[in-house]
Amino acid sequence: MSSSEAPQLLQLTAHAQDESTRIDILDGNLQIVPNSSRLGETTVQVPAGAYAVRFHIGSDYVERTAIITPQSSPVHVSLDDADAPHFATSAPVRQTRSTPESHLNPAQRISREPALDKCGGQKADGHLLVFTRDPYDSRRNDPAQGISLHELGGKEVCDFASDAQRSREERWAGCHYAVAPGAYRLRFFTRMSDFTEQIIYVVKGWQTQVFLVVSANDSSEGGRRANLESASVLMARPTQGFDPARQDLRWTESALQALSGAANIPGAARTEMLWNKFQNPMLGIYAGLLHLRRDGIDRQVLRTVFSNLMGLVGPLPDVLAIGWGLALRDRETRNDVLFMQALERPGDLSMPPLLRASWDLIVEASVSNQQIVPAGSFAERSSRRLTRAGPWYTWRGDPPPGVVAPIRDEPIRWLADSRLSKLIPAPLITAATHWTLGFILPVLAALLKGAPEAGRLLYTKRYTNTERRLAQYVYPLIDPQLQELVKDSDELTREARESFGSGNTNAIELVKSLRIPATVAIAAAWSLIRKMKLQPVVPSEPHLDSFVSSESRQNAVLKGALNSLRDESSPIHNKRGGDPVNTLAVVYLRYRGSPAGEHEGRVDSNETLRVLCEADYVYGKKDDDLVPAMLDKTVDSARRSLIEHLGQPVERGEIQFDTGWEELVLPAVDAYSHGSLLPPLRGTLDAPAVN
Amino acid sequence: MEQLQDYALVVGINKYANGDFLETLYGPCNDANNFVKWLFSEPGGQLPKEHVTPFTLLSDDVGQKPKTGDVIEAIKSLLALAPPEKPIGRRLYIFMAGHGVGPDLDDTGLLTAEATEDAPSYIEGRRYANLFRGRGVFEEIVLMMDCCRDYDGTLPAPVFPFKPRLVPGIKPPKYFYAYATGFGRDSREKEIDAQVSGIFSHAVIAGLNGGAVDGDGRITGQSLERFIIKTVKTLLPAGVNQLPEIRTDSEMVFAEGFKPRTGVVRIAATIPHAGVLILLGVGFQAVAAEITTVQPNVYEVNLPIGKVYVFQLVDAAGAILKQTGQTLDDAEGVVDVKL
Repeated sequence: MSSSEAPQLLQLTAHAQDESTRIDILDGNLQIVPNSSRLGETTVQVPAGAYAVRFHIGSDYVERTAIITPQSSPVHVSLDDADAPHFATSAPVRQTRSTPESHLNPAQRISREPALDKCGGQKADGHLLVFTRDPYDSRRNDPAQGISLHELGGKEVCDFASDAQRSREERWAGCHYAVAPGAYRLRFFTRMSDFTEQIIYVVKGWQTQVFLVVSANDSSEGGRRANLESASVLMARPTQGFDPARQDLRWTESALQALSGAANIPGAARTEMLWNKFQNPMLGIYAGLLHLRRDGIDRQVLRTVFSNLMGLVGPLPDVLAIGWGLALRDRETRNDVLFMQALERPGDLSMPPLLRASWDLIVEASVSNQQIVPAGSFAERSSRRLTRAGPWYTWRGDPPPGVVAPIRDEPIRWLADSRLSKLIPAPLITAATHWTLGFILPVLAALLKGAPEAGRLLYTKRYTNTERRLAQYVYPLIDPQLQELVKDSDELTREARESFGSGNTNAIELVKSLRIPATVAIAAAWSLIRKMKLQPVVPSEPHLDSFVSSESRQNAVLKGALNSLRDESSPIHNKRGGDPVNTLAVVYLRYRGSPAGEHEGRVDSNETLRVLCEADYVYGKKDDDLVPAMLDKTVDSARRSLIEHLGQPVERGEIQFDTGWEELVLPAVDAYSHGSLLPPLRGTLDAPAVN
Repeated sequence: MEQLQDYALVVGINKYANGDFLETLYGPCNDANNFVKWLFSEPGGQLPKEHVTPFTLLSDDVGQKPKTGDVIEAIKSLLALAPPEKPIGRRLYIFMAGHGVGPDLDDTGLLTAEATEDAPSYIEGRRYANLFRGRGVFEEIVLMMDCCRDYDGTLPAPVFPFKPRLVPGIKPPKYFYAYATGFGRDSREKEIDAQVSGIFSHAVIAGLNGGAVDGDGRITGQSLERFIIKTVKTLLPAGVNQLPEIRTDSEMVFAEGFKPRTGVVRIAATIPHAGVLILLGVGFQAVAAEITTVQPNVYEVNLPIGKVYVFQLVDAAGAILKQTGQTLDDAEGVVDVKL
C-alpha cells in the first residue's frame, strides 16, 4: 500500500446484552477510537488490526479482543449478561461484586413478610421496603443509623433504627412498611444536626424498595453511615417483593450507574429495557431518561413508554419528566394537543422528582411553561437547597419557606400604586402583564448594569442566595470581588466589560445553569428589581426628589434648602464600601422610614434600623452598630444646617415665616405629618402636599 | 535538559480562614511541594526555578492566603509574560490541591483560603486552563486538581475577570485535564509513606516519576491516565468509590527516553504447531521478541506494555492454525494466553 492511499476501513460492532453497559473501543496502542464510546452498542469503521473492546459498568470492566482483517470484516463482539462485569450495587443483586450471599435472603424475606403498619389508621395501600447493608467492613456495624421517613410537612413517620430487623454480624438492616400511598421525605443524617433528604414515592399496588450501602463517612464525626449517593430505588408488586435473581434488577442497577455519568449516551435504540417497565417501572424510567440523551430519539417508543408508565404508576414527576423531555425534543409531540394536555396538569410537578436528570428536563421545560412548577411548591422550595448525591435529586435540610405573593399579582399590584408609579418607567408598567423570564432578564441586566454599587448589598442578609446567584449570572460584573480585581487594570476592565457587559440573558441557559425552575428565577428577578429599584434600603434619587417636592410645597427656596442636604455626608455608611449616606436621605429615613421597611401607619424607627442593619449599614469611623440616637444626631445636624440655610432668605425678605419658625424645622417625629417638615410660610394657604 | 519553555502554577491549601466550614487538611501543601520537586527534577519536569517559584502559592498557618485574588494575580502575571497573541512557551502545568466544589459537570473549583459558607470563593480550574488554551499562550496545557467536587445547588458564580478569547489560526494546544474524582464526589487524603497525601496527587506524582512509563519508554497522557486510575483504586479502602476523571489529548507526551516497560506473557498452546508468532495490534507488524520455551507447549515472552497483541500458532508453512488477541496493560504479574 502506498503512503498516499488511505487504509481500508472495516466495520467493528460491539454489543452488550445489558443496554446500560458503556462500551469503549481501543486501538492497538490503547487509544480510544474516536466516537466509539456508547451505551449498549457501538459501531466503528477502523483500519485492520487488533482492538480491545471494553465493557464498563460503573468502575468495573470486562475486555474482549477483536482481530479485524479485510477477510473477517464485519466483526461483531458480544457480551452476555453471564460474562458482564460484576459491578458494585446497592441492591443485593446476584452477579455483583458487592453482594455477599448473606445479604440476599434477608432482603427477600423481609420484603415478603407482613408489613409494619405505619398508616396511622389509614388504609395500608402502599408498601415501602428499606434495606441497608455494609458489604465491606468486617467490624460489627449497625447500618440502620441516621435514617428516617417523614411526611411532607416534616412529621416523622418511621425511624428506621428503631423499626428495622438487623444482623450486626452480617451487617444488614431492613424493614417492610405499610404506609399510605403518596410522597415522603427520606432523611439521612450526615452529622448530628445536618441532614440530606430525597423524595420517595409510594404508589398503590406497588412496593417501593430503597436499598442503601454503608460506607465510611467522611465527616469529622466519623463512623459508617448509609451512603445516599449510592442508593438504589426499585419497584415491584407487593406479592413478589424483592427477588435478587431477577435479571432485570441487574439491568436496573446498571442503568442507574449509566445515568450517573453525563457522558453516557446510548448507542443503538434498543428497547428491551424500556419494555421491562411492566415488571419494574423504575427500569422504564431510567431507560427512558437515558434514551432522551440520544441524538435520534424514537418518538413512538417513548410515547408508548410514557403512556404505559402513566398507567402503571401514575403521573410521578419522573414519568412526567420523560414526557416533557420528549416534548422538548420533538415538535410533533409539542403540537399534539392531547399529549400536551396530559403533561400540563396543574400541580403535578409541585413535588420534586427522584432523579436529578428528571429535574434538568423539568427546569428546561419550565422556561416556556412557567406554570408547571408552581411557585411556593415543595419542588420549587427544595430546588433552592440542592446538593449532590449521585444521580438523585436531594436537598440539604428543610426547604425554605415559599414565595409569599403570587408572581403575576405582586408586580401589577405594586405598579398600580400611584406613589410608586412615578418611579417606574412606563414601558415597565405596560409590560407588567407579560412577566416571562425572557422579558425580565434583560430588564434585570440593564438595572444591574446601571447600579454597579448594588453588588455590595447583594452579600448582605437582605438578599437570598438565589437572588445573589441570579444577579451574578445575569450580570457578572455586579460581583464586588470581580470589580476589585479589575479596577487597577485598564486591560482587565476592558476585557471584563467586553465579556460580561451585556449580561447573560438567555432564559434556557440560566435555568439549566442554576438548576432552578422558571418560577423561581422570575420570583428572584422580580425580587431583585423590587429591592434595588422600588424598595431600596436607603431612598434613591427619585425617592428624594419626590420627598423634596412634597415637603417644599412647590416653593423654590424651601426646595433649595432641602436639596442642600444632599451635599452633606452623614456618618452612616455601608461597611462594605461606597459613599456615605447623605443627610437628606437620613432625614427621609427618620421621617418616612426606609422604602424597604414594613411600616404600618406611623414610621417605626426600629423597623428602619432593622432594614439598615440587615443591609450592613453602620455608623462612624469605627463602624458602630446603628441605634436610634444616631439617626437623631444626624437629624439635629440637618436641622442646624436648614436653619442656617433658611435664615439668609428670611433676612433678605424672600420668604417669611412666623416668629419662632426655627422650632418647627424638622419637628419631632411624633408631630410630623407629610408636608410639615418645614415651617408654613406666613400669609399663604400653605397646606401640606397630598401624597 | 532544562525545559526553558515550560511554566507552572502550583496552589496548595491546607488551612482555611473559616475552620468550622472547611476543616484543616494535611495533604495539599505536601502534594504541592512534591509536585514542585518533580517540576525541578531531572528526568522530571526540568523547569527552571524562576518559572515555578513566583507562581507557587501555599497556604499559611492562619488561613489568610492564598485568596482568590492571589491566584488571579499569578495568572495575570503568567499572561503578561506573553507578547500579544504570541505563545510564551511549550507547556503550562496547573496543579491545585485543597477543598473543592463541583460547579458543573465539566469543572472543578478550588476553594480559596478566604472561603466561607456564605461566600464560598473558588477558582474554576478548567475555565482558567481553557483561557490559556484559547489564547495560544502555550502549546500544551496540563491541569491537575486534587479537590472534592461537591455539588451545591446554591453555589454562586465564581470570579473570572478575563475575556475568553480564541486566537485565530493557532494550532489547538494539547491538553491533559485530570480531576481527582467525579462530579459530585469526594477526593481523599491518607498517610502514604509516612506523609499525608491526596490519593490522587500521590498517584499523579508516582506516575510522573516513572510509574507511568509505557512500552515505548514514554509517559504519555494515556499511560498516565491508566496509571492514575489503577493506583487510586489500589489505595482506596474497600467500598469507597473515587474514580478520577481524566481527559487527554491523544498526542500528549509528558516525557520520553525511559527504558520501555515490559510485561511477561505466558502462552499455552493446546494444539500441535510449528511455531509461535506475535504481532502488534496496530498494523499487524511482527514483534521481534525472544520467545522462551519454559515447558513443552508453554512459552514466555517479555513484551512492551500498553499495547494489544495478536498471538498466533502457525504450521510449518506459516499458515495460521489458531490466533487470539490480548491486551498487555501493565508490567505486574504474568498474563496468560491460551491458544
